Amino acid sequence: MITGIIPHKQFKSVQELPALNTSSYFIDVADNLIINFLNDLSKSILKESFFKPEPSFIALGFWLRRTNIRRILTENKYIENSSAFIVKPIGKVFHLCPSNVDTMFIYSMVLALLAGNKNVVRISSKLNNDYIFKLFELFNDLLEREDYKSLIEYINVVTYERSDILNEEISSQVNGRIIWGGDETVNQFKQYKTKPKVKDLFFTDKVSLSLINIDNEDDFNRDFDHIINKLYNDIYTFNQKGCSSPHSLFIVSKSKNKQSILYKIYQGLSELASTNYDEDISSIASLKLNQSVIDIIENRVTETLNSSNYITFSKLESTTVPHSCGAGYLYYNLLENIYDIKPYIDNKTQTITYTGLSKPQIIDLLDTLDVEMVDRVVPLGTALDFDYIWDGYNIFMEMLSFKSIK
Amino acid sequence: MNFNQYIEQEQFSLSKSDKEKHFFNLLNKLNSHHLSNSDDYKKISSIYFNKKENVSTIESVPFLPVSIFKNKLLTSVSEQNIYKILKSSGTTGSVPSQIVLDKETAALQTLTLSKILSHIIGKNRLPMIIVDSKAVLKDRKSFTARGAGILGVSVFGKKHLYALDDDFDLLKDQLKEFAEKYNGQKILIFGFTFMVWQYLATADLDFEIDLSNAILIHSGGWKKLQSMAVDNQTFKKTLFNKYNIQPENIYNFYGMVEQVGSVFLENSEGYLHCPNFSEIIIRDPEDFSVLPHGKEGLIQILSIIPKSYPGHSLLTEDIGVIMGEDDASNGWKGKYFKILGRAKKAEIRGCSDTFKK
Repeated sequence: MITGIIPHKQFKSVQELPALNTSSYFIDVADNLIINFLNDLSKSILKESFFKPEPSFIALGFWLRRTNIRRILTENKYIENSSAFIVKPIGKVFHLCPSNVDTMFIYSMVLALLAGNKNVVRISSKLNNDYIFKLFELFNDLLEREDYKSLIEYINVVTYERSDILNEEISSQVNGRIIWGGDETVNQFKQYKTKPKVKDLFFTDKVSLSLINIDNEDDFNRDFDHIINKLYNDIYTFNQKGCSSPHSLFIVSKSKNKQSILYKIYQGLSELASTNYDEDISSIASLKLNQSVIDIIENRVTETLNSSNYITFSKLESTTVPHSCGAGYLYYNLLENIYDIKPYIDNKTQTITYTGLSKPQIIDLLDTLDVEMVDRVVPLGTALDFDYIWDGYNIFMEMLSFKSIK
Repeated sequence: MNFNQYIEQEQFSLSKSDKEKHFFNLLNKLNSHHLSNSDDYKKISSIYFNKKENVSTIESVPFLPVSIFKNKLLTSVSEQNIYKILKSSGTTGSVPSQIVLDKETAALQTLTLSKILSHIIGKNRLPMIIVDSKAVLKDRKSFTARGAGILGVSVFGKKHLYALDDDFDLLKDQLKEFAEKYNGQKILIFGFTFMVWQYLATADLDFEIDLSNAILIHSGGWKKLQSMAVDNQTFKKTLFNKYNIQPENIYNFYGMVEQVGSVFLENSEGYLHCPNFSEIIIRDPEDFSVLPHGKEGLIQILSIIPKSYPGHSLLTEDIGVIMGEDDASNGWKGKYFKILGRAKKAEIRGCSDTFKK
């Protein structure tokens, strides 16, 4: 049994899903109907006070606004500017979403929609995030409007208990799949029968880090509150469990005071988290104590800062950067030079959030790394800011089909 | 007082000042034993707690998270001295805890449990009713907490009757027969709190069963019953009305496989009482600082018994509060506390779990 969330009804088979049961396409790439729909969705989100406590949904609200969607189209203008080809949607797209509180999958669905595709989104039956369900409600409300009614053939959100049969049935009928969920899920989906030419975007296991470069300690001290606020947002949004949430922190400085800089950052985060982070403290205290003890037993960590259970810093013994348990647990090391970070980077590294680096320095650093390494280098505070370029894909462009015309 | 003298003391007989002196002394010796014999414990003590040497107060003894035994096999004895590895999982299917026992610690485990239980049931084995199905013991290699608990307490009984069939229906006729057979004698009933409520206390009876001579010990927590709005008083009253079990003979108990020697029995105030072998400390979840009596926080349990593995000081995931010390009306000395619940399992999931069940 498939439970429809958009639209709200039960489906006996995948054929009954509006996005899969019809062959007519009536939406163009960057269709005004879609842009209007997204803009109205943005308005509903931003005026809904329910979302106020959850900045990631407010950010989504802003991202959906007409001005931002136009920016994406402008930045991808070249795709419409050719006399050699025209662009069309690829067709039907299956989205698989993670069960954490991440809103990433909404963005990927919106991009596929903007490209004119029909979408089936499967959310985990474990998902119990009120904000996401509220968001789906807003979708449903809009889809009841006369002008948007027809879009029900373009936006279907469903849930079902884990089922290889249903996963495969949907996989075999679509032209594209966007699979969030890490290596294990990706490998599972690679085994399903699909159309030979299905376009797959796979989001695999990644780990992200923060780099704080301090050339001048006075500057650092002056900007301290800002830096801490941004670092806090990067770490604690989605309980540090987004793929782009930093799991380790590298402080780069020539100063002899690196240890006291570290303490100061620890203290700053601890104060901010103790007033702002509202996850149940007893559970996260147990979680982090357990992670610390495992890290110590496994010789991964030789020093820890743990005077507050809102934040734990564990000093890395080797250059392998593990996944942290989340909820404010960071591995760290103190470095002399920005290039000292290279050993900690590998092809699992997704996002580097930074402060104190210039663009030429970043490009220089990337040039010394393998092409496979690092998908994203962005300023501190923007770790969770989604954009259409993600994990090395231009998701919008990937959802298009190019027809050559000579 | 040396260790042997200490464990021979009458249970619940040590008041604050006596216990502080002797308990800490023995605990500190045990702590240095683990520092010298478990590299893992030594590293944790030094790196996480900044304590390379022995400590000077009970509060400064390092503690391990109770869940570590699900992830790591910790031991303070050489491999050839391992006598058995206790395995127990909270629920079927979850990762079991693994506890390393040598002969000495295994014997002490039995001895301490016996010392504590005999304080309420006397020295003799009693005819015993187990409010569960035999099926719960089927897998002898890895018990659930329920199976382990039943086996642990079973040794204090004889002529065991498992009161439920495989479908958890009460075997009423056998229960009645058992009650009549041992009429006038003390009998022991043991079961998990929820099982006792669901399958004994609220069972439909077509005839009377008189268990007025029974001592009922139950364990496993109130979580499920709380959601049904059943408190300790209702629990006792229902059992009294139905089976004539005397409320003062009903004892809740709290303990865990991860710490041998720590069995906390319900006292006359309805709270859980520290035996001589154990002590509790309540810690503030924000920074693990020690909280005074009356303040709620994470429960740390300490025991002088675990020698074969570093389980002498554990931080549980249970939240509790100390309700008093040395002043229980039944005369038991020591601290007593109540459990308010469990830290919500930190449901923190990553991007990479769409597939995992």
